[in-house]
Amino acid sequence: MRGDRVIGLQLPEFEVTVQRSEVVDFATAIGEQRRQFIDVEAAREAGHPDVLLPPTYLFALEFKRPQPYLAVELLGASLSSVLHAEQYFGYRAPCHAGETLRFDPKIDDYVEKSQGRLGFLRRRTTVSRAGDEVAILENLLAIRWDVNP
Amino acid sequence: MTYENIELVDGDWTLQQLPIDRDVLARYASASGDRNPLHLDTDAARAAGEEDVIAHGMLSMAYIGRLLTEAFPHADLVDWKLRFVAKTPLGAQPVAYARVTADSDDGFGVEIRTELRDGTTTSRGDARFSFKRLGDEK
Repeated sequence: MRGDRVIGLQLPEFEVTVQRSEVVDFATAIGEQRRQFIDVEAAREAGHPDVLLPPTYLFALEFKRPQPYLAVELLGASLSSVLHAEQYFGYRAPCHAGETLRFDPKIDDYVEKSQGRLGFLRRRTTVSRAGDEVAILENLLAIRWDVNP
Repeated sequence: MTYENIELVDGDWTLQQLPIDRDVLARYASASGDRNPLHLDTDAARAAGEEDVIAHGMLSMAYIGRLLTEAFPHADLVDWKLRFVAKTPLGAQPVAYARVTADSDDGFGVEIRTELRDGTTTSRGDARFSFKRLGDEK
C-alpha cells in the first residue's frame, strides 16, 4: 500500500523570517496594487508593523520547507503528475513581513480512487508565531498515476 | 499586468484578469516557490497530457484572495476553502467571483469561484467572515 509510506508522516518543522521584498514580489506577481501589501510606509500609516501578507502568501512560505516534495517522492510520483485539488486557510491573527513564523506540516491522509488512477494526498500545517497559533493550512494534492512513467 | 478593479455586478463581486501568459506564470512561480514544470515547461506539460503549460491553481486562489480582502474586511476573514475543478490553460482570462450567502449579526458567508470567459468554472468554494475577532486590521 502506497499510503503506508506517507500517512502520519511528520514533515520537518521549520522557521522562516518573512522577507519584505519577497512579500512585495508575491503581491506584485498576483497583480496586487493596494499599498498595505507593497509599501511599508503605507502599511505603517494603516497601523501595521510592516507590509501585510496577502491571504495566500502563507502557502508560498510553506514552500520553503526542506524537501518540499518529500511525500510525493516517497510515493514515487513525478512532479508533473501532481495537481492541486483543494486548499484551505484558517486565520487566527494577521501576519506581516519581519515576523518569524514556525511551520509544522504533517501528512494526514492518502487514498486512491478510480481503480488507483488517482491518488489524493492530504497535508495539514499549523503556523505559529512566538508559540501562538496564527494559521492552519490544509492542502489536498491529486496524483495522476496514469501519466506517471 | 493584471491591475483590474473589483466591481459589484448583480450581487456578485467580480475581479477580471488579463490573459494568463508565460510571464505571469514565471513571475508567480518565482514569487511563490511553486516551480512545478507543469506551469513552466511546455514539454513537461505535454508529457502530462496537456496541450501546453497550465496556470497554478493557487494563482486563481490568489485572485480570489484579492477580491475577498478588497470587497470585505481582511481582518474579519476567518477561513476559506477552494476546490480546483478545472484547469486554467495558457491564454485564459480568469474572472473571480464572490457572493454573500449567509448574513448574520456575527458575520457572513461568501460563495467564491473562478470562471474562464467561455463559462468554464475552474474553482469553487466558500469563505467565512466574523465580526467578533480581535485585531485592528483594515
